[in-house]
Amino acid sequence: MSPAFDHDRERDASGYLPDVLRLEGLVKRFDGVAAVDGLSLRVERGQIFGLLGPNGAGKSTTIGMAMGLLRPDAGSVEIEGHGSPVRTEARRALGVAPQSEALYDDLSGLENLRFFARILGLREPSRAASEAIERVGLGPRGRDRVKTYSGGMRRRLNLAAAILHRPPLLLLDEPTAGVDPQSRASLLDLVRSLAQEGAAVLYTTHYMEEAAKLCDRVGIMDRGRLLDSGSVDELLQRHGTETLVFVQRNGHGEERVATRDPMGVVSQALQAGEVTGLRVERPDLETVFLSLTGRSLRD
Amino acid sequence: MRAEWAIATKDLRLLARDRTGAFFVLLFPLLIMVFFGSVFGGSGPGRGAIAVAVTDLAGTPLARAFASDLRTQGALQATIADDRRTAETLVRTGKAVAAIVIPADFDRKATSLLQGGRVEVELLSDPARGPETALLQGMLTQMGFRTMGRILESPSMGRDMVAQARLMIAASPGMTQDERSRLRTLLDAAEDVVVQRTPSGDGGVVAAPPLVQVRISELAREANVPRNAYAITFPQGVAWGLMGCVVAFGASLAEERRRGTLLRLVTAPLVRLQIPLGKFLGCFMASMVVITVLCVFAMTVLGVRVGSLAMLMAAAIASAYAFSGLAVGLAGFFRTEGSARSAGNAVVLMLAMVGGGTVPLAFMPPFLRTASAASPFSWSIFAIEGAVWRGLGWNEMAPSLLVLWVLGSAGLAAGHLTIRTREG
Repeated sequence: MSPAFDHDRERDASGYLPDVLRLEGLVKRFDGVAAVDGLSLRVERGQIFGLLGPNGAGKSTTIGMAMGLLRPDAGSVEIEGHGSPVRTEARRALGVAPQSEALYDDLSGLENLRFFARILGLREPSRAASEAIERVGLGPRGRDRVKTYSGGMRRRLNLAAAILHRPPLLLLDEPTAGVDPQSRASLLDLVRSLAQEGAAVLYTTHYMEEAAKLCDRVGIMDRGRLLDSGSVDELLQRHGTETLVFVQRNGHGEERVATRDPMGVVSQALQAGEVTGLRVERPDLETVFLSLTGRSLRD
Repeated sequence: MRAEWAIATKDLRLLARDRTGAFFVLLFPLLIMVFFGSVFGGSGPGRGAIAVAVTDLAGTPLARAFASDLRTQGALQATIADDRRTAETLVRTGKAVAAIVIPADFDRKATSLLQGGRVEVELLSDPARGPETALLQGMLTQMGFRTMGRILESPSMGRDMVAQARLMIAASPGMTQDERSRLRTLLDAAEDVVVQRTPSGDGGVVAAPPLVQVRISELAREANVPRNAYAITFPQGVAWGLMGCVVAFGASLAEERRRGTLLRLVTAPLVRLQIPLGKFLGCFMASMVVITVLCVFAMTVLGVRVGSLAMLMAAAIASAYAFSGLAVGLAGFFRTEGSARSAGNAVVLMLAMVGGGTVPLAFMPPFLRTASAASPFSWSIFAIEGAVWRGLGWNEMAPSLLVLWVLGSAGLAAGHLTIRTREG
């Protein structure tokens, strides 16, 4: 990562930024069931790629293969030209913020970071730890034990541990899960600034709003497959042409209809009678997901 | 080595901040050592009263009184030995610091004081216990004065003593008449004093030469017997400390897995072997600290004497190496913290029981003693005992050290393989 990353200068003749992470045809099966099925994606320098999908979609398995924790049954992972993350050089380019807060409760924030800096082989671990803890805004609490931190503070420290060595690739697995809105905003700002400095970020989440707000590109995953990927606008253009109409009838649950003619659906519902509630939603990532999978992201 | 060192020091810091863990690693073994040492007779030689064996070869009233005086001394813990050989055995086996032999001619020599008679009491002592021997020498001299007082207080003994002196004067050919006359006058005066019992206790004979002459004979203690009960419980305490380290570090990898920190270690640019090596190094350092603390405590507070410090160091290093390997082996084997702690405890406790960590091997039936060869505890305890009191030579110690080395390496290799297989 560099503080002065110039997206335009880095682009090649075709207008593409160099790939930092390239996943090609990844397949991972557990007991014969495909958790990831033929997934391919690329994350460029300075780009935040959001992997969006419900629980069990295969996001964490994909991240696990990108980290080198899981060996793919087929396909390949390439990190910054160093090859698979099994290689030490490739792992040097990797910054990881796992879903669980991977921290030692009985060590202080600074002690945690100093330890991880040593593990990463940094020459000045204390300096790297101080810089990272300041970066996530935990400087004043750096000497306190982690067990005294709030959930949001722990998440920020978790991210600080991932950026200690300023890696070109960040793998962030649901880094805002269970975090209060203020800490979430702070974390998102930080991820954004890291990308602006040139880091490629693979970001998994099941919060659509977060993905829409943060990510340059979004991949929709379900049942181990990447159904489509692109910028939010591109996805909406391709799949968000249908408006959602929610109709509540007397004695029935809410009915959800995706349609290109919302007025027609509303009119039909009213004619049928017994309507107790009506709601129309403009297309968003949820609509895209519904359109692609036939079910809601939160189902 | 930087990453391994970082993992090791981090684990040590976490262990030091975990009060329960620190209790089982350091305090519990110390309590075991002190408690069982006290139960097995730890208040014996080396602490408080000086343990002595007393053999009365005379069996006369005056000799019995002398022996009785010794037994009533608060600074002594006297055991009556029937004969000289029994007394020697007590010293050689470390159960007594010294043996006091009251000679068969005690009364005859004691009552010939006026003819220049001296009672020669033999003090058989362990040459390594110089200060205690010097103290005993002084006490025996003091007991001699008390015996002298006792003789002078008894009219019959006093009269016998004067009568013997008169006979001796009469039988001395080289003496002039004048000299004989003066000595007889002196003896008359002495007899009057004795009969009237004017002198009492030691006061009347302050200027007299000591009645008891102490002859010190060095008696080397047998090397292959423990000096006191703590010499037996010290290696056991060490075994319990090592057990605490094994359980703490055996569970630490599962703990890392639960926390998610193992994921950070696995995704860091480390060679896979560095993680088990770091754990191994942490456990090794903790084990060495435990052994050192227990050793210093045993030597300074419990009076345990170490036969060979160099051998003890070798035994400590080999034991720490073996148990660190065992910890890494267990760490790789168990997936969850709960299973690592409970199963680890069960496995290690069983190995400790079989290996003499709870009941000394000497008290075990033969088949268990044979089975104990399968436990690293027995090799470790044997090696430490060898350095402390068994008096082993390097060639006798070598097999134990080698077995411990092999066990440690096997555990480390097994741990490395399972971690590599499981964590990718």
